[in-house]
Amino acid sequence: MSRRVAGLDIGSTATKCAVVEGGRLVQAVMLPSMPDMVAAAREALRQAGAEALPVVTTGYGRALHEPRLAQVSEITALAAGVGALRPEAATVVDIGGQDSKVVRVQGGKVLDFAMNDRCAAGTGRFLEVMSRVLNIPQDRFDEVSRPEVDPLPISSTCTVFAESEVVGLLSRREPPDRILKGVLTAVCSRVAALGRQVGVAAPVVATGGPARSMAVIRALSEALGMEVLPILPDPQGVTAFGAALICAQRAGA
Amino acid sequence: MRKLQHNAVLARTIRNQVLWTRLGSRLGLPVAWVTSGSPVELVLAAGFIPFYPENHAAICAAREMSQGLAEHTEGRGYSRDLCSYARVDLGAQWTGRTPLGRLVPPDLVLVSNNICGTVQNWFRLTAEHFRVPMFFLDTPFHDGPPTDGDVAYVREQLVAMAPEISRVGWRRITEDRLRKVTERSREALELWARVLETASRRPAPFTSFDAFVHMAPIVSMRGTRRCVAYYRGLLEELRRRADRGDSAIPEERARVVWDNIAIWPAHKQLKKLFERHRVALVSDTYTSAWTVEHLDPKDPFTGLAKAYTDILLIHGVAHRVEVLTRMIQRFGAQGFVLHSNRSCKRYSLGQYGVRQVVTARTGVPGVVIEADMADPRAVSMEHLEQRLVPFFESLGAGT
Repeated sequence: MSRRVAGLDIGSTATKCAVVEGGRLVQAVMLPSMPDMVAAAREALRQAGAEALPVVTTGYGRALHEPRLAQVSEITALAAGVGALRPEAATVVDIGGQDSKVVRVQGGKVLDFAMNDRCAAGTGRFLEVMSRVLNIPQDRFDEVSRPEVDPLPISSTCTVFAESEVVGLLSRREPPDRILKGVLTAVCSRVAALGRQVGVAAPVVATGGPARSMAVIRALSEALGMEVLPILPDPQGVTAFGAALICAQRAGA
Repeated sequence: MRKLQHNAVLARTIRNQVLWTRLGSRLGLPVAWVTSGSPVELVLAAGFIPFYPENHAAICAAREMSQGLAEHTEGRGYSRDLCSYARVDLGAQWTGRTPLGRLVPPDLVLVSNNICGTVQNWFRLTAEHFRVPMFFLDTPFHDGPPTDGDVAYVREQLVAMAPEISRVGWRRITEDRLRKVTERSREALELWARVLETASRRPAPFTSFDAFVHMAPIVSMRGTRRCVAYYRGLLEELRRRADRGDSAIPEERARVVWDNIAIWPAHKQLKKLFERHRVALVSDTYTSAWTVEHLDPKDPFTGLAKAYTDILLIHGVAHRVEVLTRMIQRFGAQGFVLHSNRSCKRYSLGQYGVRQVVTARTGVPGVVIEADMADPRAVSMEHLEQRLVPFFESLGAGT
């Protein structure tokens, strides 16, 4: 008999809840994590109708939520989610709010991973900061950073230095679309360098909030020198979905 | 899971050692400050009480005193990029603050560059501060095993140094005294090697987290009878534990090995993290950095020359790959953890390459974690968990 179980991914930026039944997603909710991660987790469970279900938690805030069935790291949950949605994938590039990771996967299991978490370069935070400086909201990235735009080189990968660099470029009246393209190229080359630590094998899929943007996907494909496919329509919910699948397995549902 | 009885014995032993150093110095015995890789047997034969600034810095870090001391040194213009042991220890010398109550000043310092180049400058500052002579043993770096020429070069320095050290000490270094001390060092090292070997039993009765702490006597008391007695006792206890099937980790699910110095500011939290995930840290390159086979009471100078040119860190990266590969096989490890230690460049250089080659040779995965041996500002438990937990999960361990 199959019953409903849930996965809760309490990320640094967004809290995601997925409910599955018989291995299929039946409900997905996403809320901002800030300012109160505990309240966000509770609300996400309520909106997903998962308050009484067994839950596996994951993400930065995974220890915050009680009661729970178990907690797993987001890398393990991500691999499980990708394994179900794109079983053929060999590499996952995940750009998260606070870190980015490149995970080698096989059949829903982690083979190896590299992670950037001591520095904002190459993470969603970098994009957030630049989006603010350029005054271009992230949902407009695709519209601004069109394929024909020629990127301006951003030489600093450090978020603080790159921010000053971008301010400098703006004060010289360089066009914002070229700067943005440069910013995306810088982020993705940083992620590609991370990927070289584990060796990127095709097919490559992308997850995390920024993977919604085709401009980011294009820059990522260029930086890696191979095609990258985002997991659509909800690249940000893959980890919560994976956590729910792990929950189903452990609860015997 | 049962606590080691020797944890209490260790605490007593260290306390006695501190008291003995203080008392001995008050009675007029000379004190030598030495690096962990220096030929301490020489100063012991000359009647010195040795003191280990590296150990001292580790104690400062474990007792949460290291940051303030490091900041004092940085305030004098020394870069934060320098070794944290050096910054902490110099800070302690200059401020007089130490968890040991009081530092016993040296009558000489003895340094070898077989562990790194930083100690040379660090101990020179120490020698200047206390206005005492510095003895320096230069050891050639090598990619393969040390050549006869390397050994002869080091031996010559040891022979030349002996009468000079004797002059500062209270008795002459004779071959006979050196033989006795060397014999005790060899015996203690042999016992220590057997202690470490017990972790190859399943389940492991002892982990590297225990070894990081129980290595204190082998570092700071080798060459003494008390050191031999200590390890004889510890080995006995571990054998009893192994025979009873007592494990260091409840329900051991995975075994991994470690590269680089311990992360002292997070030692306890890290130990708990491994325990919680049922992962046994069965061996490491740090506590087994000495080699026993060279010490030779029959020809003490040659034995010492060989032993101190064969320290782990004096070898190239290829040697580390060898050591880790053998360790993984002997201890039946399913993975390895490389601590990229911000402070110790010589130990951390090349680790990403080491990781790839060791994985290719053994088929087991490795993970690199970034931290520091003594500077809490460069240690983030959050980061360590972010790296280690998914790694443990991929090995089939977890909460």
